[in-house]
Amino acid sequence: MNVNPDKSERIVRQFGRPLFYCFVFAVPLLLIAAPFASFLAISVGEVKGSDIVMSLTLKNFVRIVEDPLYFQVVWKTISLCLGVSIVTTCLGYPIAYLIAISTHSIRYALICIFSIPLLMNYVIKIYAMRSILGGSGVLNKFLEIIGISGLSNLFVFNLNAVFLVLASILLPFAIFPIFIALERIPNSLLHAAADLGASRFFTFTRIILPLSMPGVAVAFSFTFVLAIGDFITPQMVGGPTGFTLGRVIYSQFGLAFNWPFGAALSIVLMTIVMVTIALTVFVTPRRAR
Amino acid sequence: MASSLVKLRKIVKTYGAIKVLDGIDLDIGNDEFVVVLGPSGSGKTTILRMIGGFTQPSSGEIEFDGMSLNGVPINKRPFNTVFQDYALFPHMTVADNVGFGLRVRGVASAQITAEAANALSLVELKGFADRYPAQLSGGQRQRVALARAIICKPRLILLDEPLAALDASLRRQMQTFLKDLQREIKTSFLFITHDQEEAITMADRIVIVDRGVICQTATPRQMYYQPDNLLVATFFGDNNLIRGTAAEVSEKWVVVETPFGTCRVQAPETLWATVKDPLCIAVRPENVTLVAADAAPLKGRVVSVEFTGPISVIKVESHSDPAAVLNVKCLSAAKGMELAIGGDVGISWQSEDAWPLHP
Amino acid sequence: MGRMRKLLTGLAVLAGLGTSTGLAQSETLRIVTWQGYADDDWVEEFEAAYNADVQVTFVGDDAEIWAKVRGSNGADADIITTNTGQLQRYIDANLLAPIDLNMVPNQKEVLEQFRDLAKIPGVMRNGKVFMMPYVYAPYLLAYNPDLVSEAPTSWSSLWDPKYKGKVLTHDSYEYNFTIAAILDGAKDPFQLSEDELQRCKTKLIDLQHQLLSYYQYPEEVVQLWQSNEIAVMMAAYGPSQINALRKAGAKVEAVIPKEGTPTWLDSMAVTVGAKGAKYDLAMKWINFALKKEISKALARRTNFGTTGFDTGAITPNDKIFWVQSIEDPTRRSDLWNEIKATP
Ligand SMILES: Nc1ncnc2c1ncn2[C@@H]1O[C@H](COP(=O)(O)OP(=O)(O)OP(=O)(O)O)[C@@H](O)[C@H]1O
Ligand SMILES: [Mg+2]
Repeated sequence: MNVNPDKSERIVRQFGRPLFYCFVFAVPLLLIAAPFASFLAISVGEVKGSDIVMSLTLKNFVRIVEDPLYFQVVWKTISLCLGVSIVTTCLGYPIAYLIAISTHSIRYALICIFSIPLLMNYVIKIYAMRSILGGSGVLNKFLEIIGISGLSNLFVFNLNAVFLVLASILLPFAIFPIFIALERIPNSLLHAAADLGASRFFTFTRIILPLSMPGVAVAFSFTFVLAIGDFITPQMVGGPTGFTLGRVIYSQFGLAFNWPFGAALSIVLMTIVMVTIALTVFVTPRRAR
Repeated sequence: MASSLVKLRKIVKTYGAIKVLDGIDLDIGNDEFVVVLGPSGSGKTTILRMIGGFTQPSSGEIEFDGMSLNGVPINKRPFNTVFQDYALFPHMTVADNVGFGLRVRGVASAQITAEAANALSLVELKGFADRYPAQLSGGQRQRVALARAIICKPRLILLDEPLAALDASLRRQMQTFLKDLQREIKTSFLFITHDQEEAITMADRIVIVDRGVICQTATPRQMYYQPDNLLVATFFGDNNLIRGTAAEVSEKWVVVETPFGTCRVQAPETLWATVKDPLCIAVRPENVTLVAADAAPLKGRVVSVEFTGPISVIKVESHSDPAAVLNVKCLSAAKGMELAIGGDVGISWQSEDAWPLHP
Repeated sequence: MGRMRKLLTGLAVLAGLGTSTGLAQSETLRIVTWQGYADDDWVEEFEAAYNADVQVTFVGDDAEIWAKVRGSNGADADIITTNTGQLQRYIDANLLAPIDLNMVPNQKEVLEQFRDLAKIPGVMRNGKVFMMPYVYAPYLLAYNPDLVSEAPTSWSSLWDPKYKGKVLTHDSYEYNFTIAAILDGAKDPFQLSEDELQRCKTKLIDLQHQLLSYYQYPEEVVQLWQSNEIAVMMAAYGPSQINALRKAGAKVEAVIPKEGTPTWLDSMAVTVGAKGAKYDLAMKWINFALKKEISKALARRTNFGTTGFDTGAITPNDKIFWVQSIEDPTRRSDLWNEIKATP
C-alpha cells in the first residue's frame, strides 16, 4: 500500500513545474479562493434598505469582537466541536485499528457497517437520532429505568444531545482517514519490529501510532470542520440551549438579510477552521507525513 | 557441518489445496553461509518466513539448538531478518532504526548510541546516523537494514534477496562486503537469491529448491561439477549433456555408449544403473579438449567455430546422430591442430570431469 | 456592492432557469408559487379553457421569490404569490402591476370579509389594488388535552410554569415578537418601538426557559409530538399543522387566543414583466383561481383557509391581525439571536 513518491515527482518533471502547479492550484483557487474573496468583499459591506452596499467598513468584525454575545457563542461552539473531534478521533482509532487488522471478509463487513451512516441522508439521520433522544425516546427511557435521578433528560434537547448526535454522525469521518493511514503502513514494518524483538504493544506505540498520526490529524480536522460548519444538528436536537455559530450565521442569511454580518461571521468561522487545520498539520510529526 | 544450529525436518506448507513446500529437510551450521537458490515461486521465501516465524509450517519441525521452535513467536526467536524491501522505519533516523533492537531490550540509551555507531561503522555508514531512510540510496538503506539486524547479535541472519534491487556493480560490491562481514561477525547467514552466480560466489553451501522440494544441497564446487540431476546440471552456466545407454556397469565405473562413441566414467554412489539403462554424461565445455581424429575413441565433425575473444566456442556434431551436438570451449590462443569446418575431430576429457546422470 | 448582489441573484436566476422550458416564450404564463396553490389538474383545466400555456415554479421560501423577481426586474415571473406583508417591498421597488378588478369578476363572489379590499391592510396603495387575497391561516395555540385540563384561552399559557419543558414554539424572529407584543397589548404588533421590543425580548427569554425545543418545519412537529410530552405549542402553520398531527395519531386541540393572533394572508400579484396579452392572461388566472370550486378544493387539500370558501378556521368573533411588514427585520433578527444565545 506504499505510495511511490517518485511517481508524482516524475509527472512534475515531465510536464514542467509551472504548468503542473498552475493546474494543481487553479482548481482550489476557483473553488475556494473565489467564494472566499466574494465573502470577504461582502463582509466589509453594509445593508441599506433592501440592498447590500459596497463600503469598506470593519464594523461587522468589530461587532463580533465587541459584542459579548457573539464572542460567547464562538467560544461555546469551538469547545463543543473540539470535544466532538477529540471523542470521535479517540473512538474512531480503535475501530479503524480493528478494521485494519481484520481479515478480508470481516473487514468488508465492518467497512460496510460503518459506511452505512455515510450513505444515509443527513436529515433522516438526525430525525432518527431525534426519536432516540426524545423525552420518551429510547435513550431517555433507558436513563429513567436505570433510575439514577439527574440522569433523565441528560440528552433531551440540549448541548449534550448536540454533542452526542454530532459525535455519532461524524464517527465514520474519523474512522476512515485513520483506517487508510493504518492500511498504508506496510506489513513488513510490523514484521521487522517483531523480528527485532518488539512486543505487540511496543510495536504499536513506536511504529503504528506514529505512522498513523497523519490519519489522526486528518480525522481530527475533518470532524472539527464538519462539526463547526453544521447548523442543522444544533437546530434539530439542541433545543433552546443549542445555539451555535453555525446557527448565528444561518440566521443572517434568509429574511434577516444581513449578508455582510453573516459573511463576517463566516470568515471568522473559516479562520477558526484554517487555524485548526494548520495547527494539526504543525503538530503532526514531519517524517510520518 | 559438525554441529547444526537450525534444523528443518519434513517441513510441509500448504495453502488450501496448494502444496507450496513438500518435505523440506535442511540443516544450517554454526557460522555457515547457506544460500537458498531456486526459480521464482519455488518456495524460497516461504522457507525463510517459517524460520523467522512469520508463517507457520503445516507440518514438520523446526529446531534451534535442539529445541523446537514451533509456536515460538517472531519476537522470541534469536534470528534477525533483512527484508527484501529493507522495511526501515520511515519516521526514525538511521541511528534509531539501527538501535531499535536494543531499545526493545531496554538497553541504556548511551550504550545504544555507542553500539549503533559501531554497527554503522561495520557497514561503512559512519556519519549517516541522523539521516532518515528517505534520504539514503538503495545500497545505503540495504546496509542500514543489515546493521539493524546484526546489532542484536543474532545466531542467524535471514536475508531475502537483499541485493535484488541493486545494480550490477553495487551488487558485486555488496556480495564481497556481506561475505567479509559474515566472516568478521561469525554468524550464520541464510541468504536467498535466484541468481546462480551470486550463489556460487557467496555460499559455503547451496540449497537448490524447485517446486517446493530440495533438489540438492552441496558446496558450490560439487554443484558445478557433480550435479545430482539434470536440473542442477543445467542450472549453473553451460553444460554438455550427452545422452547414451549403459553398456557395462561395475561398482566404480560405467561404460556408456554415446553418439560420439563409447566411454568410461566413474560412477557415484547415487547412481543406480543397470545395463541398457539410458544415461546422460555431463561435461563442462571448458573441460573438453579436441584432439586428432584417429587418436581418440570419441569422434565427431566440426560444425562451427565461434570466436568470442579469449575463448572460442566450437560445435561438434555426432556422425551417427546430427541432433547430438557438443559444445567445446578452448582458449583462442591455444596452438595445435587446425580446425576445418566439416572436418573430423577427436574428443577427449579427464575421466573425473565427466559425470553420469539419470536422464 | 449592488453589482455583487446582482451577480449573485443572477446566478440564482440562472439556476432557476434549469427548471423552465428555455428562453421566455411570450405565450407562457409563468407562475411562481407554493406547493399546493397550483395543482396540476387546475393548471390543465385552465390551459384547456384559455388555450394557454402555464408554467408553474414552486418555491421553498420568500427569499427565492424576491431573488427571482428582483434579479430580472419582473421579467422572469408573471404571477407571484406570497403574504401581504412580504409584498409591500415589491410595491416599494415598483415591481408589481396594479390589478384591474374589471377583469376579475369572481372577486365579487368571495367571502364577505374579503370582498371590500380597502378593509384588508396592505392590499391597496394610492387607490390601486396590487394584490389579490387568496389563502390564509391564523397562528394557533395548540394543546394536548391529556396534559392541559382546561382549554387555554390565552397565549400566556405558553409561559405557564406548569408546562415547563413541554412547550414548543416556531423558530422565527418575526412572529414570536408579534405574539409577545400582542400579549403585551401593543397598539400595532408589527410596528414595535425599541421599548416594546425590549419588553418582548425579556418575555421571550422567559419563554425560552419554558421550551423543550424550537421547531422549524411542520414535519418536525409530528415527530416531536410523538417522542416527547408536549403540552402547549405555538402552531405557525395553522390548521394544516393541527390536521397533520391528528393524522399522525396525536391528541391535539387548537384555539385562537382571546388576545388575537397574527394571520398570514397569501395574495396573488402580477409583476411589471407581464404586459399586454400576458397581463390579460394573468388576470384570467387570478379570476380562475378565485372560482368557488378551486377555492373549495384548495381549502380541502391544504387545510388552509381560502377567501372563496368558508372553512370555519376563523369566526367573526376571532381577533385577527393580518400579517404586515415589520418595522425592522434586522433588528428583530439580532434581538432573536441575543435571546437564543442567552443561557
Ligand atoms: N499467502 C499465500 N497464499 C497462497 N499461496 C502462496 C502464499 N504465499 C506464497 N504462496 C505460493 O507459494 C509459492 C512459493 O512462494 P514463495 O514466495 O516462497 O516463492 P519464492 O521462491 O520466494 O519466489 P520468488 O523468487 O519469486 O520470490 C508460490 O507459488 C506462491 O504463489
Ligand atoms: Mg521470494
